Amino acid sequence: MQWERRGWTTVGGWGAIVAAIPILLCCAPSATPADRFDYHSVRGRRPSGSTAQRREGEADLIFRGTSRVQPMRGFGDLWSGHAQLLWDGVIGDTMETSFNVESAGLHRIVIQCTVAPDYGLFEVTIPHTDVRATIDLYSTAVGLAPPLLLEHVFLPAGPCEIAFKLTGAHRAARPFQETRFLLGLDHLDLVPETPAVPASGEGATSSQPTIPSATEVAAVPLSSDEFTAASKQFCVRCHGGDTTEGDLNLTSFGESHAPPPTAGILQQIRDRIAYREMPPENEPSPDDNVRRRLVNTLDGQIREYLHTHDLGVPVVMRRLNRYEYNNAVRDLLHLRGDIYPLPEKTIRIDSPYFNPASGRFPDELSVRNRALGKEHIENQILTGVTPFAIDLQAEGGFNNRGSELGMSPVLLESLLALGTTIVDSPEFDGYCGSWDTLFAAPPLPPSGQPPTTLPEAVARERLARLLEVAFRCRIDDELLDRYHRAFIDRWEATGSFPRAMKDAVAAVLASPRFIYLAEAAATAGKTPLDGYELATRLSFFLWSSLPDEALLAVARDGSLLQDDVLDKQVERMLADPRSRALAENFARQWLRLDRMVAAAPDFDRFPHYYARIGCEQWKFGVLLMVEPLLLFESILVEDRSIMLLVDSNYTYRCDDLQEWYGDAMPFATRANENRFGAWSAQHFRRRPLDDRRQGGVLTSAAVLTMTSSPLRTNPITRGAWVATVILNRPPPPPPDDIPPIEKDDRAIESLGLTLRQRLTAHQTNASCAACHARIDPLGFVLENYDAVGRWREKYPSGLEIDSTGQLFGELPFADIVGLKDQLLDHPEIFFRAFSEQLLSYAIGRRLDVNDTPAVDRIVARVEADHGQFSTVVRGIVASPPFRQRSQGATVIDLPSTEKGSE
Amino acid sequence: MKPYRLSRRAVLRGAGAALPLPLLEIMAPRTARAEATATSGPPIRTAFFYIPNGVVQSAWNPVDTGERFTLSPTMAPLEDVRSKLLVLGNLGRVKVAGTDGHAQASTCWLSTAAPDELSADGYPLKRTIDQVIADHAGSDTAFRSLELSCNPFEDNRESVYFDNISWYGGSHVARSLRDPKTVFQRLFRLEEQASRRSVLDLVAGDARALRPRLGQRDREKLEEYSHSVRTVEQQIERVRSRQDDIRRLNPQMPVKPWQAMHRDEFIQVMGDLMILALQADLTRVATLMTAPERWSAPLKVEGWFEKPIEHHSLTHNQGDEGVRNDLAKLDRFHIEQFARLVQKMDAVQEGEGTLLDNTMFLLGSGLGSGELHEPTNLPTILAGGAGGRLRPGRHVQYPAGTPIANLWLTMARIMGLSRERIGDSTGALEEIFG
Repeated sequence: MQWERRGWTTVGGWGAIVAAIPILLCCAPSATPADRFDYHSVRGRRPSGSTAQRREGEADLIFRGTSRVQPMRGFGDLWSGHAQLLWDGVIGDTMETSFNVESAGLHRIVIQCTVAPDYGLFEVTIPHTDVRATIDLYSTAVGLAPPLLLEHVFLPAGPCEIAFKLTGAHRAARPFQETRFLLGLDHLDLVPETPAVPASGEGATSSQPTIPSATEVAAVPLSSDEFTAASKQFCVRCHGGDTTEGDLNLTSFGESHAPPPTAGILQQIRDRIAYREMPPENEPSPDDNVRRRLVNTLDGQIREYLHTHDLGVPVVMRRLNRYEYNNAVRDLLHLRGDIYPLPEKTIRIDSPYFNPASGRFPDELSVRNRALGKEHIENQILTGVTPFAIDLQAEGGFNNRGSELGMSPVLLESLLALGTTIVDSPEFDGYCGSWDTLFAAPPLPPSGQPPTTLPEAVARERLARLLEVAFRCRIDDELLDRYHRAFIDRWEATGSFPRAMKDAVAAVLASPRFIYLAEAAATAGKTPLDGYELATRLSFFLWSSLPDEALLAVARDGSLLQDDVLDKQVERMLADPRSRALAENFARQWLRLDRMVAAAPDFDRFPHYYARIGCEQWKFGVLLMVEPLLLFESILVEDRSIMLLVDSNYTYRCDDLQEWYGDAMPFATRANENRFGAWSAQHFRRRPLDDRRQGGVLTSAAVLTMTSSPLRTNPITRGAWVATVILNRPPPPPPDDIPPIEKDDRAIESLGLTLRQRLTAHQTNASCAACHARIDPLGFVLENYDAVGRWREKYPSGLEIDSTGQLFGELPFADIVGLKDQLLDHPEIFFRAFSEQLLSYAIGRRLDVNDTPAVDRIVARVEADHGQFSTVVRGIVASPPFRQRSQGATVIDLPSTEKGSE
Repeated sequence: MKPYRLSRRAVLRGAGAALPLPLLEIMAPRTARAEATATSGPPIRTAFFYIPNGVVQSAWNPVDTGERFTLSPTMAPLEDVRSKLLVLGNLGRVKVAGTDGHAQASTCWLSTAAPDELSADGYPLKRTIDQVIADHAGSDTAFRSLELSCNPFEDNRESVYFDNISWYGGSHVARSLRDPKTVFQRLFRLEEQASRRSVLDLVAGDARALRPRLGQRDREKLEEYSHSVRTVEQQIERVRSRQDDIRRLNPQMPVKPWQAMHRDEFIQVMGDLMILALQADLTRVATLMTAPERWSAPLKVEGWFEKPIEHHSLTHNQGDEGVRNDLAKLDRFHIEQFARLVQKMDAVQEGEGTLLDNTMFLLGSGLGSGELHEPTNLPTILAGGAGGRLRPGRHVQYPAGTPIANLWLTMARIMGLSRERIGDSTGALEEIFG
């Protein structure tokens, strides 16, 4: 079990609206550095293949029928990948799956299943072989079954089918849902036996687990009687009968005759218990074991609910935002660059450096930063072409959500204006790479000869090509006729072929077919996307732009719907420089980096933040913003582990930025006029870090500055940022009665109090304290960084800094390095949070509890690959939410608020 | 007050923050087209002026009611136009639990939804009163309504709910314009729009062809597009008939980028554009947001505060006297901006009276005080005479709990709508009539 991290028990993470951080009920000793996985070792455009011989049930086997992922942390530490493939059926049903065999030959197969009280009796067969074995998976407790060994099995290379037929059940077995029995498959090991059988099965013995003793089998779900009793004891007192606190009535909760609450409600209940928010402090609480079993039971109920209801969540047709619009127009017309400048583009490339195909992010690169401030307005690129208004980020999400991307007369006017001003700008003709193939009049035939093709026909053929790319669909005659007719009208009116074509293009650029990602209505429940629709989702996910010709080719013939073709396209597209959109559009929003723009450290307290006093446009912040984005880009280009976003041993900085992190006051020797350079291209260099107080995004000066106030740090804002960005558990909206707090830490320290003591004294009522207990430690741990992100051992007044705390009230840390260690030791926390946010970005909607099974599967793969970036992308692209559209039930999106405020 | 006459070129330069007089160019001889066309007098216009995050309550309330009231310290800048104001006390809204107090303040202030009518977004949010009025009053003006914002922040930190007060419906925002140049072009450079007629035909055809393929929710989304197409088509027609008036008006494009404007300049230039549009009867309904809700980012208010201030965090620290004084000063800054616009409106001669006399220009906020996010005793000042229908110059106190929807109902009726009820209204505010 080489990937197993030892010593921590938890219940499988559950992704709801926000993420699901596994609860951590057993405080286990942290891993020592020696046995901690080095995430810097992950690199390459493909997974390393080190897991080649192991096929994880939850990650590598094909799911058919009722198969799904079941996280197994709640049952102990025995399952590899902390998850398994779970299946259920009635007697006579068969669980079919397949796995990949790399090379033909004799193999030894070791199958690791799970035993439990409601598991069945199975006959295992592999078609075209003589394999036939019977296993009884019944046991009074949940644990691992004795491994099933199949030897001397000849398997051809390629996909290999394997079947588990449910033939019966132990007489003591308790049926699942009255008539059904379960199968749990943890993993399957393949050991090639040719040419010779390896010494006594090296690989196999090391992976053979011992049968767990009763004490190791923790967190067995509660029986239905136990569950009813527990809910009566701990929940119904306040949430039942006449007192239904929070409008939640659980009177009949857990009783078998009562209709089960929806998964969404179950999820909320589950999270409240898991994160120890319920029962409240002054009420009787279950002990850790019962709490863990309760959570485990609820997890099971949620899964079953989702499994039986299987509701998809519809995506609301989304309009392009202005970043996507720019890219789409640029790629449609093969322009040499952008159509308008966008302030939200943080990094301005000075000379090209982003080349993922090289697999190497340069050690040195030269970039400019965005314009900022009153006298620094962006210049137009194409004369007269101005962007429409920016769309704001959704609460806890991105600015590509259909439900929030409206259309109005004002915006339509902007789009109409864009269409014409782009093609009419004086620079356009020379800027357009498709002039000859689209706009230019067809060459005249030699004098006296009739043209071989009439210009009308040429125009029609060009329009057909253009419309297919622009509208990402098969172009029918009706559509083509309309555009062709419009072209002819303009041609006749103006006598100019290019003019008429420009007018047609101007309409294309304002058409609903161009500016909306429209997908055909789902016909029944869930419908797979067609080739064009899938290509469009894919290109807007990875490039924030239209599909290119290579992608359209496989969309057109439908082959994109095949897994291997799709996978090849993902690989190709990630290697294309256009994938930089993931940094420019996703990472910037994920990190809330735009907030940096408004950060205004006090002129007098932090003069070094300004190139000269009071000179707003030359804030150091414009340089700070570049650092976390370059780290992200390096991970993308070198296909490294996303865990480096938490803790990296390198970073990219220019010399001024390097000085910022130094012990000495930066720029002390430089004049007020010219403290640092921010108005010309800066040379950023890769800098190795041996100090773990630096590295990753969390401790970047950008994040620490933009979450501070002018005269002090702001631990609650910082904590809310960590909870939102790193954990994907945005705190609820702040309450109305926020107690006042001094805006200057000097005023607080003059009372002899630290900011932490002052804030803690403020949490006068229990409801404040419960929520802040979760958010604040994530901010207090950053108190060693001042309001502009520089390290300090003590507060300026000499008071000691208390940076201790606990993650989720369970995982202790003494300082920021301790917090990073906890995140490294429990990688599924960040892997899940990041995967959820990237999935939400990819499909342009809020996730909800119905997405949990898909997220489980993605996270299982990401964990197996130690967070390799491309694995996250592949997992998302392969997931049902990405590949299907859905009618869904009516989903009401309740906006939650992510802000932490004092 | 006598109309000022300023040089035509002086307007909209954005340079006049320090000038004591209004910037607006006065076009006395040609104002109010309706004056010539309608026999019943000039049309009545409605405009809303929004200030975020509530006010310092202790400095807000005037002393005494009726005509002999004394303006509060915060309202001091309104002294000169006192006779044209109705100060309305104790109007409020019901707070809905579960969504952010600030998002609710901006989003639900003008909403015509009752407090228990939650939209898909979780807010009691329905077509806002300005849009409801525009359905009627905008039916033959060039623009059915105008939505403006002086949001100075470029950091995009809050969502759409904090940044808009005007909504077509539940989750369909009437996004405001925040660049005065864009506003100017929209209002006065209409020949360019007219040239896009053929494009409109094509894209409208695309929308029609797309519709049958879509599911129900996406059809609703597409309807936003189709509706916009119809509105722009109408606009082009109506604007064509106003070309001569606009040419005579000959307004000048603001030259300074908004990013470079001081706070007061930004608000005044945007206000000037709004007044021009009302004066020329290009629209009869407008909203102007001085700044978005919450948005906890420091902001410079030149000439008033030495250092950038964070409006939102000040509101939560107003227990401290120094902070409270700063906050009250910022409230006064907003009132002064309003007062200057009121004076400019009152300087536009129109028929027997002024533009202000034919307008309802309402200052308000979605919160009474930002300290506890209370939507009670909302700051509410109604300037103007609504064509003689109102009797200004008074301070009226309502019983606690009077819904502000009663005011929306009253204004809607004055604008010619026959509505029995709006949201949670309990009846029109009879006291304000003349």
